[in-house]
Amino acid sequence: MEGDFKTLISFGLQGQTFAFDSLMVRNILPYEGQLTRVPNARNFILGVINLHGNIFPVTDMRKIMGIDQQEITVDTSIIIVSPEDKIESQFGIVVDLVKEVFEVETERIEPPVFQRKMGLIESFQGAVTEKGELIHLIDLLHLVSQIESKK
Amino acid sequence: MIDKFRAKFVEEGLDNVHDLEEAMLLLEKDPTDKEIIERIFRAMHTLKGGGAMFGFNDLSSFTHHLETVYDWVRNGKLNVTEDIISETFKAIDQIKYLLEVGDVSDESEKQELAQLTQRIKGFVSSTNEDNEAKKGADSKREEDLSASTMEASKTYLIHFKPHTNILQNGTNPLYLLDDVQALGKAFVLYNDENVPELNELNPEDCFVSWDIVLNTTEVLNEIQDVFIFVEDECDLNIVEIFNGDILSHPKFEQIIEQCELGKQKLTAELLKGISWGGDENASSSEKKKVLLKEHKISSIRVASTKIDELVNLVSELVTIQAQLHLYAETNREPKMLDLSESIEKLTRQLRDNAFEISLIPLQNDLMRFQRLVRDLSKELNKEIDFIIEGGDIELDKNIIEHLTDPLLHMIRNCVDHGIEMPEERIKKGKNPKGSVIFKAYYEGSNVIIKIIDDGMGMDPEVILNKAIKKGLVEEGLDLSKKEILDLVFSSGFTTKDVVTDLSGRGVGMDVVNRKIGEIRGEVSIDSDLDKGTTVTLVLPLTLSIIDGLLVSVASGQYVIPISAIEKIIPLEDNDRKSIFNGVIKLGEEHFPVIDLHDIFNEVCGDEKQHIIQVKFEDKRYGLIVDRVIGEYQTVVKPLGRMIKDQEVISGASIMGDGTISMVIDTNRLIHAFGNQKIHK
Repeated sequence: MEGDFKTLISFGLQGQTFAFDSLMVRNILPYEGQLTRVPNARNFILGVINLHGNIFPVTDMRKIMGIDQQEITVDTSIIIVSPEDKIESQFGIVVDLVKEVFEVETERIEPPVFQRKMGLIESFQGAVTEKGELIHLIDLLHLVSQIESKK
Repeated sequence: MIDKFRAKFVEEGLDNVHDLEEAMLLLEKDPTDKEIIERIFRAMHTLKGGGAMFGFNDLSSFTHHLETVYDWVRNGKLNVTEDIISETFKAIDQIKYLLEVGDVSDESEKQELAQLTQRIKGFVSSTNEDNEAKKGADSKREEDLSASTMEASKTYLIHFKPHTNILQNGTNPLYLLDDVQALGKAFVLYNDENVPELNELNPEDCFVSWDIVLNTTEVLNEIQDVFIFVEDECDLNIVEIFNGDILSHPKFEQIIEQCELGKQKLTAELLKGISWGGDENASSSEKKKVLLKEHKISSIRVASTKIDELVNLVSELVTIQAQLHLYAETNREPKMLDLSESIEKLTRQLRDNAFEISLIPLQNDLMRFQRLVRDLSKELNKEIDFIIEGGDIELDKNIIEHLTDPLLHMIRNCVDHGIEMPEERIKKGKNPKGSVIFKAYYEGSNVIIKIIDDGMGMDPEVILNKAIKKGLVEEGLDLSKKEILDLVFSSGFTTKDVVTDLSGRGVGMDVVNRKIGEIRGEVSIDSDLDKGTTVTLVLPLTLSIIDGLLVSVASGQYVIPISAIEKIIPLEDNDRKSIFNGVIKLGEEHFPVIDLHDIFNEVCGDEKQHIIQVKFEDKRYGLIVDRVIGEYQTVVKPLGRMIKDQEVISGASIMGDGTISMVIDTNRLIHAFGNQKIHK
């Protein structure tokens, strides 16, 4: 075997495809309006969700990245991620559509195509072409630190 | 495998060190106390032995020298001096270090260790000459020792005759008997001579009385306390009958046999007639050994993560139980309701139990504080008495973890900035020895901790000027003294350059305030110039479960902690109109109200609204909500770090139907929205 593999999960946002490390994913749920609003929270926090007796905050990826609101469809999903592998740090991310989990050799990952920052995401981790589609890689740990530092 | 044992030894070793430190502080107060010296010697001995066994060779040989010193002290060959105590404290630090790192390898550390060892050895060799003189006193002391180790266990005869109506108040006398039995070894004899024939018997009356022979080390007061709530509903007579244990005496058994057969009445005189004869001392010290042994297995060491898990699981159970109850109620299944109620009872007991387990006494921390005050005051040449009241108060482990740093900081403030130098104190006409009092006590479902010093206090004017300079308040505002003192809690109030000219404490108080706030506690400060400062902490007993009132505001459901609520008042339309500039007039009472619709950016509906009156410090505030749904016991879960900047919401809790309700932190709510004067 040559080179390392990375397992990614890809999702759609406004026609574009993004991905992050699938090892951080804990759960994928359909978005059914089961959120409880938290008053006075920052705009990209949609609310909190009860998942098996734990309460997790749910963020809206579209608002984080400053993308126009898409309508909520049957495809709209919540990805529950655990970037630090601790139950306290788990949170949900709302995306337009969850696509697939795929493996990619690390050497195939190229420098990011996007140079400008998008909302809270200062920079992208890289880009990869899979099945003829360009996928932008997001660094979740970076995102978390952005969310937490931004008051 | 050996690593596992080593880890265990280190853990136990640290306990020993802890014990050693505690004993040293006591010894400093009374250098002649034989029992304490014995305790120190034993702790050192354990460390030495264990150290050698698990490869802590430096530790073992170092402790050996230390032990020798205390062996001499123990045998009266050496008197405890200030020097010995100081060196021992240093040695204890060294032991702690050795426990952490194992054997030292670093050359300079080795030298340091050797020097310290040399100094300790010095105590023993330098006193060789005058030890003869002390030999006389020696034997006498040994006698004292043997007397003091004898445990003061006593036997009491308790005659407990409840009045016939005791059951009507819901008292179960059998529980009282259980409580008595928990105090020591007890023999219970019941007396049924007053019980009438079955057809005359009223099952709601109590006719039985009991005679209890109790052997205990507790004092008489403890026994009386058991019956404290039924004092007026029974005839109670407690007599001390025997010094030592009577229960295992053969004669005692004979007497009891007679009494059981109804031939004799158990009286104090009868029992007082028993004696052990000549070997009384021997048997009672034997008894002590037994007691000690029992004491040893009465507690076990459990990893704290396991306890956390237990508490978590119990919390989960409480939530699930609520779901079960809801299901049973909505489906109206009587059988199910019964079951759910039984489970509820069990859950409640389990919950109380689990929380009791997770409580630990403040004591352990207090040792550190005592040491800190001692070291710091020596360093600063100040004389300070550190007085602890209520060290046995127990608090949630998680709370104590969050508490240590702020407390440490505040006590350091006291010693460092609060208490003046002795000369200065004399000039002010105060006792040159300053005092810092640490006081902890329960109040309702809270624990109150006060740190009181009689130092220089804080000057409100200095604080106000500083705050104006810092731009925290506008000039010309008429602030009360309390409001001025509260300014020290605002962030950015104290920086390094202020420390020197700011009188008294208040340094870093914003950090303290924040830390205490994290565990849902409150800090307040009171100070009189030249008289001293009192910092008061109000802490919750536990973090994760609260009794709350569920209310609705627009479409959301919120929980308000019951402990804060004074009363609930329906809000009439007329009264609503009387709200002017945030203050409502209800009857004769005026108080400020906060409309939660405004806070949560919700629109008022047509629903009838209610005012929840809550207390905040010494004032009352009203919170306007829509519906009051009911009282719930809820598990408060954190919202996660992402929503941490949330001021008003302290957490969320899952309701029986799986929905989430936000838990309102009334203190912070009022602080943020009620005190408009300071928070512009």
